Amino acid sequence: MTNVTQPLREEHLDLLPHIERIRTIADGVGVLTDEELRREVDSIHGFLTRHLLPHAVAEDRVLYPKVAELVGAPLATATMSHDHVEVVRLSEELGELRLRLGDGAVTPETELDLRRVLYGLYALVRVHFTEEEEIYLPILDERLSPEEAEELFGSMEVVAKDVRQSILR
Amino acid sequence: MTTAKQTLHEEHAEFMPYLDTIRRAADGVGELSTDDLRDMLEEIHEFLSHKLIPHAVGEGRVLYPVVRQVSGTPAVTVRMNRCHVELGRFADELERLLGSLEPSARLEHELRRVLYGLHAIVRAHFEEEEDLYSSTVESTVPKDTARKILASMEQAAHELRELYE
Repeated sequence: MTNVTQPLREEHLDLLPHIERIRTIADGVGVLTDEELRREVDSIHGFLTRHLLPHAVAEDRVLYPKVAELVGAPLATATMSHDHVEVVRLSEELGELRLRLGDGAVTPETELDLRRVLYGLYALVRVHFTEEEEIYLPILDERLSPEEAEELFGSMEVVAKDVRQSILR
Repeated sequence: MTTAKQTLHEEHAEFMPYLDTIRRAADGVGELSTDDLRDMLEEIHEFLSHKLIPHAVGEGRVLYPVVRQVSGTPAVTVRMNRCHVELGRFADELERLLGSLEPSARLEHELRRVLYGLHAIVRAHFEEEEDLYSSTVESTVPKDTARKILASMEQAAHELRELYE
C-alpha cells in the first residue's frame, strides 16, 4: 500500500541534496576563494528563498492546520512552525552576510558567522524533515483519503507558488 | 543548592552560559590549541551528559505528560522527545570526536558541524519548549501546581545525575 503523503516525502527527497549542499558550503568556508564562496552563498540563498521558504509557508498555511484539525488539537504543530521561524531568521541572516561578502574581502568574523548560520540551518532542517516524516505525515497517512490528500497538496502548491511569485516581484 | 524555579525559562537560563561555551568552542576550532580545545569539548560533553540530558529526561517523565494531557494530542511531546533523542546523538558524536583529536581539515569540519548544529538545535528547542509551557501548563494549572511540576522535574533530573556520578 502506498502512503497518501508519498508526494510530500518525495518533495523532501528532492530538497535533500540542496540541504547537503548547505553543509558542503559550510565546509568550504576558509577553503574556497572569496569569489567561489560568494557564488556558493548566492546560490544557496536563492534556494532557501525560492524553494525552501515557500515550502515552509505552504506547510504553515495548509499542512499544519490540517494536522491540527485531524487530531483536534490546535497546538499539535506549534513547535514545528517555530522551527520555520528559526529557519527564516537564519536565512535572513545569510542574506545579510551575502551583502557583506559583496563588499570586499572575506573577514575572519564573516567566516565565523557564515559557518554558524550554515551549519545551524543544516542541523535544523535535517532534524525538522525527519520529525515531519516520522511523526506528522503518518497522521495524514492514517486519516486522509487519496482524494483529500491530493486536494491538500494542490492547495499547498498554490500557496508555495504565490509566495515564490511575490518574492520575484 | 538550587532555589525553586518559577518558570521553565528560569530553568533554561541556568544552561545559557554553556550554550555560549558551545559557540565559543565552535568559533575556536582551527584557532585553539588541541589542549585548549579538548578542555572545552570535555566541559561541553560533561554539560550534555550530566546536566542537559538528565534535565531532558526529567521533562520527559514529569512535564511532558502534563503537556500531552493539556494539548490533547501525543504528537507535540513525541516531537519534543524526538529532539531529545537528537541531543543524545550530538553527545555521542562529540564523544567520538573527543577520542581522536588529531588535527585535520576533516576533524575541523566535523567539530564545527556538531557544535554549531547543537547550538542551533538547543536554542530553538528551548524557545519551543518555553512557548509550549506557557500555552499549556501556565495557562491551565494554578501557579502552585506549576511550581510543583517544575520541582519534581528537577528532582527527577537530580536523581538521574546521582546515578551517573
